Amino acid sequence: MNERQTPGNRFLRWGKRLLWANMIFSFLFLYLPIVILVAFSFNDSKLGARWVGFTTQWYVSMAQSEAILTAMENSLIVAFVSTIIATILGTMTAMAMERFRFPFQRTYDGILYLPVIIPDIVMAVSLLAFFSLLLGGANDLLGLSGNAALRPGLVTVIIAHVAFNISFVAIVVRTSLGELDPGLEEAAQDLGANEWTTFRRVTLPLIMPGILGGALLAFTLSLDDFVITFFTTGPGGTTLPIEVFGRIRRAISPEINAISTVMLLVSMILVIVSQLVQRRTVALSSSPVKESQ
Amino acid sequence: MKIHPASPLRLLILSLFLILILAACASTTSAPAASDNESTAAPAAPPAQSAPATDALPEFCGDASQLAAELHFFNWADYMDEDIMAQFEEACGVKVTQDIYSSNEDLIAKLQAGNSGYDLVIPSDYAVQILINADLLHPLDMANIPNVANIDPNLMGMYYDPENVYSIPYQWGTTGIAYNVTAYPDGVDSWAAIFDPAQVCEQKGFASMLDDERESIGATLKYLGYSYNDTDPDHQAQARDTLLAQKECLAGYNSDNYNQTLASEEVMIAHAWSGGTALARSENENVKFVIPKEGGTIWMDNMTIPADAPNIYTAEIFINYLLSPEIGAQLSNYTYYFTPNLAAQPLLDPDYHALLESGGMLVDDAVRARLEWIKRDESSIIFSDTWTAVKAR
Repeated sequence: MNERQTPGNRFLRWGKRLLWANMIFSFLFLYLPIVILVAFSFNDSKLGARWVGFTTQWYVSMAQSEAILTAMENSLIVAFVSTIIATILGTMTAMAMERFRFPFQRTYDGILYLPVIIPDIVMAVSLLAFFSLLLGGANDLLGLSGNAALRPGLVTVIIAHVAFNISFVAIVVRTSLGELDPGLEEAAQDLGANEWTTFRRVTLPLIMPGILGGALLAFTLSLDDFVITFFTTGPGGTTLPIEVFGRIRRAISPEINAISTVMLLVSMILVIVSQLVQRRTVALSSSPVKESQ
Repeated sequence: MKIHPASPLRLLILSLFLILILAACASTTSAPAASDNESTAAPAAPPAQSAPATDALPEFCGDASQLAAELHFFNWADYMDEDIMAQFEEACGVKVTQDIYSSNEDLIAKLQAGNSGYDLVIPSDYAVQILINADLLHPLDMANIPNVANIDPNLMGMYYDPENVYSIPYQWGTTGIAYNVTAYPDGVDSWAAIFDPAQVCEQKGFASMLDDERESIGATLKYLGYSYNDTDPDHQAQARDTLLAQKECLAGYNSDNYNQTLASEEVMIAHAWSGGTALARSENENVKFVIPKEGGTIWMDNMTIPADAPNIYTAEIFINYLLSPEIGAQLSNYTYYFTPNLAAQPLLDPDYHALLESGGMLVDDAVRARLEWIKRDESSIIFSDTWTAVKAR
């Protein structure tokens, strides 16, 4: 953060320039394809192979396509609900791992990382087997059949997304918890706050950036996921990645570019909101404990 | 500065959470409840709310008392005109909801897990065979599907379902060579144009092959005078060497956007599917298609009903609806593939038909005789080995 000036150090000045150039190239590398994607979403050509003219017809046809709108709605429902549940459960897991000591803690610790490491497809196939066993058993037990039978759908997708997102949230939140000065919590309790008040007024505001970071990660992963979603979804549960991937099989149409542009916009708004919220919580928590009584 | 317990942010998050939970609950409970009365097959169960009155239903809707309120359709993406589903709902009061898969293997895995809830699925030829052998399909009651008579008899009774007990053709197409007439003014008539190193290297960097082990190795086998389904190790080795020699002059292997590169003239000759070539031709009139004299492939997607489908009768009524001449034409005008529906052919969009005709995509009897099915069994694994050897080099 603080500029360390060492006057006369030519090497450092060159290093600075090189780093600048590197940064600019990195940004180009990352964002040029996205700029092209956005530009071609306004291309008046069915195949989008070359620039023909400006049009907004792909946004119109996207907005009129029942399939795309349903898929978008499904994606957002799954992402919001699974993020909220996974954030709460993940934060609780992180608290338990960081604050308490219990038998086999190291084992739990290792298991927690597993969903992050194992390939999506392995998780997807195991969830498919799990749900078909579970739902099949429930149907037999309750005597349900035909349209009344329980079957995979958005609910199973949400459960699956919660399952892999808990680990991501827990890992991110643990980092913030680890950086937290335990003296602050002790001080609060010394001053008469009970455990709940300490958590609410001291711990939670301080780890809020971590929780929000974890939630944002979970939201993105959920919105993005194809493999696990495909294997756990059922009738009426097509999400946007499934729809887009299916369409690409035919031709990468400007309609897909239009969908991607809208998704990009949603993600950007999300990032901006989260940064604003984080800045706010940091501002709040930097003038903390003494005023809480 | 005080931290207020009921900060607006917290309220916002809380209310959002509650709304979502309610929405999720509402959508999960309403779906089974709405279809509940249908599965118990109550004789006087009223059809869907949108249907006017039971006796006012058009004849093609069948017996209204047996119709479900909802039909779950599992299909390839962008392979059904949404207007057709809307028209069916308006006429018969059955809401058709569609979900998407992107490969036959995905579909098979889904059906194998059981209890998928789908009423109508569209597997390709070889996948129908796999599904039949695994007892995953329900035999069709042709009494409910009289429009099956509209299907071209030449496209019925295919190897994967010789008696059409389980499947009825949906859309079909071919694989051959797409080329640009500015580079090939005299046209193309043989696989040699893309496999003979001397010829393909005249278009060095402007030729592409499908990124598909069965199609690409199969075409090579055809060029060498063998069958698309030849698993003889010597023939496979010859095919591998031919493909490796050809690779020197290819722009690449491409089955996702070969139609774009054809339309933009980044590629002048390509191993291609008929449907994608039709799309490319709709953008660039110089693109034409040919089934080489040695032969090409034919594929067929088929309407089938899963063995554990909840709404079999409704699915059969919908299949019958899709097979009517008008709807059959509307479907193929949308998908840009060939319709197996003879009665629909005169009703096809004349522009679309002209595009196929002038583009060399129409299949007459002489072309049909040169087309071969790609079949799969345990011995097909050798195609993967050959393909790996080609792509790794």
